[in-house]
Amino acid sequence: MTNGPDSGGRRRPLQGIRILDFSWVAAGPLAAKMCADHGAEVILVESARRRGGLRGGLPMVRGKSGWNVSGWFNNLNTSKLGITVNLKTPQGVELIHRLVRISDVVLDNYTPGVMARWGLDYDGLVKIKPDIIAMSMPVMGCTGPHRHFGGFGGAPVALAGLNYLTQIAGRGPAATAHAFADHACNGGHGAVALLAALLYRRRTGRGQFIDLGQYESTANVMGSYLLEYAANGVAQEPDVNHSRVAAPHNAYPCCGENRWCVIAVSTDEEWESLGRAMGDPAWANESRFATLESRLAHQAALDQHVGEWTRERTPEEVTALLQAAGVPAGIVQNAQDLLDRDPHLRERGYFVTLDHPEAGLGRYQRLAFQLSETPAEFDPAPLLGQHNDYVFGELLGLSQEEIDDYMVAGVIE
Amino acid sequence: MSPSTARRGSDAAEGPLSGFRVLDLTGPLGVYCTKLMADLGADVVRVEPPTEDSMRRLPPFYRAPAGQEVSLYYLHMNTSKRAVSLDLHQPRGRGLFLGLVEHADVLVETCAPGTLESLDLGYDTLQARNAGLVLTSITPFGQTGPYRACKASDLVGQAVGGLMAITGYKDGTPARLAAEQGYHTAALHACVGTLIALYHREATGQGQRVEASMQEAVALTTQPAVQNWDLQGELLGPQDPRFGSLWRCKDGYVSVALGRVQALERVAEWLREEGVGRGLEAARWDDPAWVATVRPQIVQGLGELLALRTRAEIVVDAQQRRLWLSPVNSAEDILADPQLHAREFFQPVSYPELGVTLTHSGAPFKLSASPWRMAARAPLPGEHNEAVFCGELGLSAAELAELRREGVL
Repeated sequence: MTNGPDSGGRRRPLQGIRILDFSWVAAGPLAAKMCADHGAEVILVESARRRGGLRGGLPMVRGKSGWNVSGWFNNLNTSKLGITVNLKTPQGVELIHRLVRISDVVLDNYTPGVMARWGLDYDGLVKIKPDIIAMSMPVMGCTGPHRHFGGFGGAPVALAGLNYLTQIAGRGPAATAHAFADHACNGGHGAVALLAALLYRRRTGRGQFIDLGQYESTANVMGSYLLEYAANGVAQEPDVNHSRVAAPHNAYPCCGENRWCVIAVSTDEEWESLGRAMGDPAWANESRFATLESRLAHQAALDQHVGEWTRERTPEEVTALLQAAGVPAGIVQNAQDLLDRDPHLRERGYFVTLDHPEAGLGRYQRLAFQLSETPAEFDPAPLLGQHNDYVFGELLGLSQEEIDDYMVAGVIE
Repeated sequence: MSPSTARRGSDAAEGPLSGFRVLDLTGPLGVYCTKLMADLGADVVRVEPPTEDSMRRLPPFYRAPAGQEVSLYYLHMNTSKRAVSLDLHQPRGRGLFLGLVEHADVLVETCAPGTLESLDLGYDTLQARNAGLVLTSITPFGQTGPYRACKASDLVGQAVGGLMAITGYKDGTPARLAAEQGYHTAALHACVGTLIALYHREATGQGQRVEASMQEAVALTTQPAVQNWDLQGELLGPQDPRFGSLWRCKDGYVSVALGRVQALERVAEWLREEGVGRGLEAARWDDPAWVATVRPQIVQGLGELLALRTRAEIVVDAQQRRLWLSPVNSAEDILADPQLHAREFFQPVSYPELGVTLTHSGAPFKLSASPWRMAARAPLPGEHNEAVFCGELGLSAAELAELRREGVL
């Protein structure tokens, strides 16, 4: 068992907190993972018969199959423990209730009603553990006329206006990244909610229920878009690669197959630097590009000129040249760039190598933040049921014989 | 609750972060971090330059009936906060700031790496005044590494973090995700780190630095693409149908994920009921080869079926079939959504100075015992100078006036 809370003798920041994690796919797992990487004991509750979420999700390690080698799953569930219980049996439910008694947090992202079947809705949980913190993360939230509407990570992106607003003018909504909201706002808000509730419990002794509707969570990262519509009766027209406060501001084609760069010029100083970096072409001195206001008014022509210049260069050349001149610019990096080429991420150690018992050596992503004194530590994601003996034996105090009996009876799977 | 009149401490239920003091030195890259903490009950004091906080000039704007023009960006991002003005470049400004640090639990900042040090306000200096301080620094590329000094906006962050390569159009044109998702994701994940550090501080008294990078926050959202390259040597584009896509219908678009066989099965059932599912009766859903042969027919059939219907019709029909399909909503749709109204998502905030009440979006999550709430409208420039500098740091009214004259405040 490598997931001990007291790694290397150093106190982990969330040491002593135990989280029962019933969440699946991505948003809930990420919220719990961020806690697990910082020393909380997160127990992933799964069924060996009905494997949910990403256990079978692509991509898998090349040449391997089964329930333990999904890269996406393993990246989202580091540092957790895994148990397999059949919740269709009363004994399975009873075992989970005993685990609730020694836990601090219970987390799920089922549609409303599922946890109640096992007596694990908040009303049921507080009877077992009065100061429990419980969080549910359904797409629509736990109440309201549409509470039973389901959806994966793409649903809140559509519902909350992110798909609608992510359009280049005249081209219709762009296709958006896979399960973006799960990895960004919903996993993030989930962790913030849990940690805020833990801080509150520390001060007051009180637990509580957290109803995280992913639609509302995602609407919260739409910035002032909704307020603008509410206040003015109209809102910005979608044109996502442009900006209201910067021009040129776009993705520009570069040489190479499907290679692009971005440039974002918001001040006159940056505009002058860009002109010099491009070798002072005549068009850059045209009066229609002299001020931000007039650059914004002539964006199509501006983009055309800048694009003709970038097209002759690689995105690496453009970025190096412009950053040296103090102009915000960057490579539109793909996954290969991130993993194999970006010298900055490499020096910062963004990808950590873990040796997973079945998946073998693999590269995993660090979190987006680092604590100087109590840094995250990563253990490989659990195999299906890997920690049954530890959890049921050491934590619940069952004898090996009792565990074996439960296994024979199909309660522990 | 009327947020404009609700003053700190008068709410029946206090927020979960009530009692924590946060100093806010953030620009757009980090401001959502401190908004979250403020709406969760922390006393967030925004420290703004005496000239003007440039965030107050960011669009979109609202023109009040009496003619004042205000930044809705600022109003949205600074609910529940207080504001003081302070020139950190002047010795007396710096001194007052250190006084504030002594009483603070957290400082969140988005200055370029090295900026605080150049003001002699680096972590060591701050920590000497307050050993328990959590200093959260949010920057485009983090505090270390060859790109640490590079300049980046939200657009650049989304590009270098790998998100734009998987967002866009079939011809390969990359698109940025709307509403500054690079900034939001960095700020939100930095907030997670900050709260973990605070939890540790509560247990041990030990403060620390939390360092967040926009590039790394964005990269975290591209996990499936990263894993696909690492494990399969395959680069995902934005149009991978396994993960969901947008479909045109009568009045806009809907989003549906057809990655799972189960979803295809439910679509096939729907098509059969509509009488257009010929050949789908002999279902062999366990057989990937058969599924591959019928997939194009299912995809085409679904497209034709959706094109004849409105979003509202489609969503109700599909959800009843447990086909998880969602409408592509605009702001207008969202403001009118009965689900959000039933959950009292939208909150009125009154602006006495403007003579209006504006509708703000509400809680990202509902905490039953210690709710998220907007305790106050965004502050006016220097609105809390007197309360903070006189009330808490003990300056006299005469000293305050003098500092104002000298441009320190």
